[in-house]
Amino acid sequence: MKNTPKELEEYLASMADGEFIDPNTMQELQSRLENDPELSVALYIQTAMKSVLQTKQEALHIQAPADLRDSILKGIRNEHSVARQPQRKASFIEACWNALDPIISVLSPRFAIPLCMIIVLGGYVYVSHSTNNIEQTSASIADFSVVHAGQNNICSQAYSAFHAFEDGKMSLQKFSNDQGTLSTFFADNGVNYPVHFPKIDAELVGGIVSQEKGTKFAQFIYKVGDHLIYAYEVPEGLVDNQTLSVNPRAMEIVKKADWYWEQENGASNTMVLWRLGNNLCVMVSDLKTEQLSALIHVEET
Amino acid sequence: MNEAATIIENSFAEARKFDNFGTYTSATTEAPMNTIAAKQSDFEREALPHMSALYSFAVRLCRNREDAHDLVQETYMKGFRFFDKFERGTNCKAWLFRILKNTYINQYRKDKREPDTVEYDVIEEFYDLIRSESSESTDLQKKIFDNLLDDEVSIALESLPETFRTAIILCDLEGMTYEEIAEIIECPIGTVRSRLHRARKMLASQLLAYAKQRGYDTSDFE
Repeated sequence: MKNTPKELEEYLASMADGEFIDPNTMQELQSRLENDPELSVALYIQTAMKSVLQTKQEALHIQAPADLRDSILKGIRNEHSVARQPQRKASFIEACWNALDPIISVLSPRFAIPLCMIIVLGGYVYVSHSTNNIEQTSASIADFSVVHAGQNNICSQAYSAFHAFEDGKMSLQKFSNDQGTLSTFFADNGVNYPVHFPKIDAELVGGIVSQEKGTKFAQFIYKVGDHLIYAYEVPEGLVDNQTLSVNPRAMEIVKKADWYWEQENGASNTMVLWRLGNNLCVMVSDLKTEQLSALIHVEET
Repeated sequence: MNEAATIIENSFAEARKFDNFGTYTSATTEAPMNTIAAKQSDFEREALPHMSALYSFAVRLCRNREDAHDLVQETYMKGFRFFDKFERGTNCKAWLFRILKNTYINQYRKDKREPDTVEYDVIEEFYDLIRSESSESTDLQKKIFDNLLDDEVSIALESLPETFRTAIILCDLEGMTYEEIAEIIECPIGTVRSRLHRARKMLASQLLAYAKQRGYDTSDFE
């Protein structure tokens, strides 16, 4: 197919860049270049601009700041630090001091001393307020009476399965670290809903199919270092108090806050419940809450 | 062997005894289990060497070093999170540039007004002028283009509309092929070619304007 003059002219860029041009187009281009001085000038523009930029490549390169590499490495390591602790928030006094330090340092003591007193008083009020908040939070946690009762309660099932797996009473039926292989395994064994593996920085180990009132459900295990993470995924539509159930309080929190987290009574295990597509996912792990939460990635929308 | 590994190993032995579903295959258990540390180390080795090029490109996109710093950091965090999806042995640099470009479009560009761009009429006018000249004028053009200041080239480059600027930076400064650029900007090779062609024409127009301002005799063009 013959090129339009505009298309042919655009091929001058390919020529300047040494990119592939099909033989017919190349022949056509060369023939036109021989007979058309304007096209030669157009080619010159392409090569000259490339040459200008390449000559000045070093000068045009913008050096990355020295701290960028460290910031990236720190970000990556934080992302994966299983032992990551919640970052301590700077206290009110520290924050005020940091903000006002440049001002105080240039003020005379006559102004600086009253200003410091205001900061201390402000800090006192803030700390008192924070303590009240902590007390209120503790009270509201104490008010939570989320009991995962009932044979078909997915949270109590998840705890039981996790303990059974830990104690060697339950075994993986399929070993694989490949999501596709496990999906096939689940489907082949009667799990008739799509399983959405959560984005988690842990190694998938294998899966188990369980049965509740004739319906098959998917369970899978991850490991991270010395720790295990058990996951149980069920279609939300089946959590109807007939086939499966969940504590309404826990569900209400999932609806409002996306996640329901809890520490197992009398044990240091963590449980989390959240929505994953059309499914509900319950995870139980011997990791601490902050460790487990650091591993799970929130799905990008 | 740690506790988790022992539990899994025991589970494995049990599963062999009571293979309810008859689907056990030993091959899957032999798949290498990448540890977090190994992923981190792989990522650092593959991705960090491109940091400088990414930053330079980010500054040209954002026109702001602080935003560029954040953009590159965000790019690396996303790259790390999705490193499992990166096909080893393929072009990591192009993959990172693509993440950066998409992150820029989604997070950084939305609140920013597109900068003043070269008016296309001016380019066409300029182009018509040089079209009408004979090839003898190329000596003058060469002289003009060879004596440009670094800042002039840099400003002219930044004045290009974003799509054209991206194409020309990736090709002429980063030395990428059309195929790589097409992958990054997610468009056909023909579009890459067209954008590069136009970008260079716009750049030439801008640079000629600087030459005029510096008192170069460009009367041959007028």
